[in-house]
Amino acid sequence: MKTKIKFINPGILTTLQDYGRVSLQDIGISKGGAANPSLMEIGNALVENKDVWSFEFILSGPTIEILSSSTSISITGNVDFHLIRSGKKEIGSCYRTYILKEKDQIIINRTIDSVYGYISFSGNIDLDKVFESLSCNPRSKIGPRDGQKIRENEIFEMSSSMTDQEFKLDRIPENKNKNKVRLLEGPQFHFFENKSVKRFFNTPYEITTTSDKMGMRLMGCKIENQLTANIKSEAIIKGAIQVPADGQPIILLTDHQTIGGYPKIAVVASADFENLIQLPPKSKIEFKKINLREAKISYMLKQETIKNIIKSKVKI
Amino acid sequence: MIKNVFEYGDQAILIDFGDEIKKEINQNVIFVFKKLKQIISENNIVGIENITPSYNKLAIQFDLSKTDTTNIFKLIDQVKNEKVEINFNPNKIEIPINYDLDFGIDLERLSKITKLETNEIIESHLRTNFYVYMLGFMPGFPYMGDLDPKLYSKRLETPRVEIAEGSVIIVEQFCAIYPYKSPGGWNIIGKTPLKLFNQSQKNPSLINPGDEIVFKNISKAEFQKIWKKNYENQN
Repeated sequence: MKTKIKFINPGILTTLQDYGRVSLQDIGISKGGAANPSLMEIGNALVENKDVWSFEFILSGPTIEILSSSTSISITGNVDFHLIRSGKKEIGSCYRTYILKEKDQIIINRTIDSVYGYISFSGNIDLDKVFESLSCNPRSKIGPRDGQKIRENEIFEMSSSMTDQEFKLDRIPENKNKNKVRLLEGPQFHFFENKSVKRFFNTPYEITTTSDKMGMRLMGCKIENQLTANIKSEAIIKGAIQVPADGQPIILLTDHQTIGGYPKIAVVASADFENLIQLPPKSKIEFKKINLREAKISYMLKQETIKNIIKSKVKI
Repeated sequence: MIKNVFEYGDQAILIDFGDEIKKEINQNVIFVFKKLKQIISENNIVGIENITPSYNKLAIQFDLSKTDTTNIFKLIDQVKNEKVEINFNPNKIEIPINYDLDFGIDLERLSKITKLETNEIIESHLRTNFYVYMLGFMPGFPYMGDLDPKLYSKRLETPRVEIAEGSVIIVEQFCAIYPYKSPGGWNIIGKTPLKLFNQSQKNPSLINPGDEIVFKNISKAEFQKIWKKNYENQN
């Protein structure tokens, strides 16, 4: 029996995501995938999925109705939402499973003090993967349904799996020091003047409203370049911080372009990337320089924390 | 061949082959790119997510939970001392193009800038054996060079809001083709009816780094025929 769901309201920008697609950057396609993969992973553990995929929403989320059959769902992130179960409206809690039946609804209001949230359903979605991934990138039109965002009244079908057990987590992810972002020196670090580099690490920068999943534009002390503001284009990676001629840094995010011609002062430590991408426009960020060893250790610690959170899953 | 190898964040390595944009340098990049892909697939090396060539650099991105910088450095050591076999039998592709002025909308303006007749611009473009330095900007978008210096032009001061897919464009020493509709500031000289990128195919990009490209002049009638086949019969 298939579960059918309908997006009564699609939200501002809701897309289908998994871990993205690799080995294609040489032909112009970056990995993409979920902005905050740990939240997607935790959400899928709660609905007992082996194949990880979720609907990712931004700021103002969707309203979804279960059209037929039943399913189990989880919402991960810092999300304000309601459920309508058997005709009754209730306040929803993140990081737990809910079993939903025909005519029940999920009403996602908004993400609180964050940008991305995830809704995970048990089972697999009935769509063909594109380059081995379900991830959608509306700008490059890559992904199932030409990578487009979810539209009003769009219907999806899923294979249902066992849905008679609800779970919750004893430990949930916490976001301490989320405005402090650790960085490694970038390939063109030496392009920048000493005083500017000091200011870059000692004064906060503000995230501007022109940011999206491709890049985060910052505003703060101008970073002076002592060599050149243009380099021969080279590969961009997630978290690279480029500084164009105006001296205001841009952090390349999950759906970054594949190559770019601005010098890169720094790269975000992988351990801090998910915190960073969750910061809403107008937040202030402080940067701290670390070395590769510290970056590696903090990444391992972070992975360990996620594993422990998933292990803390208990039956309700 | 390799000038330098350095860390690029905690999940990537950047290999430096030089500072200039030159076919000889880029051929080294493409050689190491292909060699690494071969070693990775033959030895089932895990954790490498993307290898991205550009004019004179090669980036290797990896998953830090599966491998690390030390392993990638070792992998690079394996190719470092290999004798460069420049591929003397590269993949050659002929791209049909129509230069009619309704497609080549910048030809007359370019004629004024370069002080060449439009047919001289077209002939020079047709004579050029293009080399694909890299792909990027959007899926399947090739950076090809080098044009005759007489044809060099700058980007438009105000980029166009929309350029049609298939548009053949030039700027400085480069020529490129738009796989999709896009905004852009390059000069448009013609249009190809070929589809450059098709995500439903296993090898989705018609053109790949290191390929050699020549253009072939076709009439509007031929253009329409090929365009129909590629764009209209697909559904």
